[in-house]
Amino acid sequence: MTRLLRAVVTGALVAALAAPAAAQDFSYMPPGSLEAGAAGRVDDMVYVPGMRFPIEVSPAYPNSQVYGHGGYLGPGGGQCDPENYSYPWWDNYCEPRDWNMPLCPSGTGHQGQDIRASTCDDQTHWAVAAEAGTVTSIGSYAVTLVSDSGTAHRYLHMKMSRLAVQRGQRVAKGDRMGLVSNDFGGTPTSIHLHYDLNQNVNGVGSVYVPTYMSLVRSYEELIGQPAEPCPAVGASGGTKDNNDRCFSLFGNPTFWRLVEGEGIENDLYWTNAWTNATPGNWARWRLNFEEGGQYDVSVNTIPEWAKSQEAIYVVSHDGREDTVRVDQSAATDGWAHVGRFAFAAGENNQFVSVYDNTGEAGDLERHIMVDGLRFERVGNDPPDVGPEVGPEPEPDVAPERDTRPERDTTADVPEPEEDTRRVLPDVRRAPDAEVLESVGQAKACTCDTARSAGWNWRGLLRR
Amino acid sequence: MKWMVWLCCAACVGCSAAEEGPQTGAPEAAVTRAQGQPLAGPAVDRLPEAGAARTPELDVAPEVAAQLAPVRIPMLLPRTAAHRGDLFVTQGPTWASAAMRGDGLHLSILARTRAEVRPHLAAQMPACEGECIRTSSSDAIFSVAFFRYGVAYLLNVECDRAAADPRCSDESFALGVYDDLAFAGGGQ
Repeated sequence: MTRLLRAVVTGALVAALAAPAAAQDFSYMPPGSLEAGAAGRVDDMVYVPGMRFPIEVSPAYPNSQVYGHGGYLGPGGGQCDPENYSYPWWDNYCEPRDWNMPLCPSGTGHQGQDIRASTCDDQTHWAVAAEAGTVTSIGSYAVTLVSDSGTAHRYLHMKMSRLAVQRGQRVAKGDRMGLVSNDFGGTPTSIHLHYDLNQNVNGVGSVYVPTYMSLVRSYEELIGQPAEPCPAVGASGGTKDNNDRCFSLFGNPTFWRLVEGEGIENDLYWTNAWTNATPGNWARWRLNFEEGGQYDVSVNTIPEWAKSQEAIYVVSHDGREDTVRVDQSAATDGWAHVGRFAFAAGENNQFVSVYDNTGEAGDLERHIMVDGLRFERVGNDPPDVGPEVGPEPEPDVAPERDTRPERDTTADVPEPEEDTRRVLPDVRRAPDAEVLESVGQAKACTCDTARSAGWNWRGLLRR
Repeated sequence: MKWMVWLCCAACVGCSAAEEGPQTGAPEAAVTRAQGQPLAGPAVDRLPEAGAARTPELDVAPEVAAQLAPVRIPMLLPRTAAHRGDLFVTQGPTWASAAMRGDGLHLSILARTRAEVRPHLAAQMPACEGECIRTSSSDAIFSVAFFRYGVAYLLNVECDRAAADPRCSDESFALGVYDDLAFAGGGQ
């Protein structure tokens, strides 16, 4: 099924599979979407901002060595199959393995990202330093580069007899490290670079963090397609809709509903609240502000679809995160107040997310409406003032801190409870198709949505 | 073709996990917390004081001691001399590393005192106690992460013959190396 998905998506996005992909064709599957079909880790954080893509020249193709052509569980063919050397990219952090990986949904999986260079030619393409740092160790098929900040970049399967670096060598970002090859401790693997990142995380310790979005960002930089900033909220405020370029839906599309002809810009989404410890569906607006300052944040509500009394909103603003419960059903003027927050100018990892694990039982049909955000500037205060998540000015806000349902501490593996949201009424003629059609090219993904928990459909649209 | 066999094994073992995987992935943690605020868990706050006398638990060769002496972070090395051959020590502003090779092995120990603040990761990690040992692996390199002296350590064990050396077939050998580690110098 996943192969079919890949074929369809690739066919839609890349006209000529056998031809070398041009930079302008670059597209990538969302983080956490694996060729293996299993649930990867949905994590769009860039863990190493500003890093250099670890292969010297484009194009390059992160994807699976196991589930792609030539892999044991792939669709046949050889590792040099043109489809292995085409967009879109595929995340393979957390691809099924039997070894421990506590950050993976299953608790096991692949630690990093396998990357093919532009062609499958051996010892032809250079791997380069992703950051300035020191080469700390050279094993039989692994080279580790530690940046000044302590991030360990690990490069596997380069041609060890032709390395461009030595132990203890100081390298600059972009310096050549070695040639992409298939060294694997005496038993060759496929020709690719396994690249991973290890960071010391406060309260966690040394851990292999997701690499995928750091690679996406650095590749966009390499090919001259830096990510466009999100459309900015004006100095006096403004609205953001679900059609905003920086709006993303997450989770299983089966449980999202699209309503056309209603809401801001004539469409809206809703999903049902449920009681699970972890969210099943959520949405996010990444934010950009022309000016820093305090803004009142409200969400658009229409009684027919805004029924949750405890919708969970997380607001990331000026280096802080606040969680707020909002009674969508209580709004009387079409807007439910989330709170007043100090935002910094620019993007700065600021966002508003809404989650479905409110604790409201699925059979209550408590719809969570996702449509628009409104920002109203409050005075001209500088953004160094802490958030005022309080009752003013609207009485329909139930602000609180740390009020989300207690997370299951066994990583992000939800309890295997019954998915009560399946009682969702059939309000859609072809629900997945409608939902996905609204986000354009991702429509082709409907064939496998049931297995693709954690879709970020917008990811496909990034160019 | 041997690599295909290896990939076969690696992938096959993971098949059941793929089928039994969760239906939803969890997003980032949504806890209310100012970024940069200390989190619960083993804190990186107990570096030995500068100048404090620490007695190495290992009797290392003078050349090894000389490499370790300028290191600002307490360094751990295996008691087993064969595992700490060809020692090479490097350090950065907030980290130090020891790389060794011998007996068909490549060992590396990375010690870090600077921690990234990632609340969403901290909220998702299973609870741990003591030195908070966590094992992991990829491509036959086995890792053991743990805390000691308030420092976050990462031990990596790599075999010269990745597919043929049973020491790199599961985590037991790497955990044995972890048990074998002792304070060897640095951190003064």
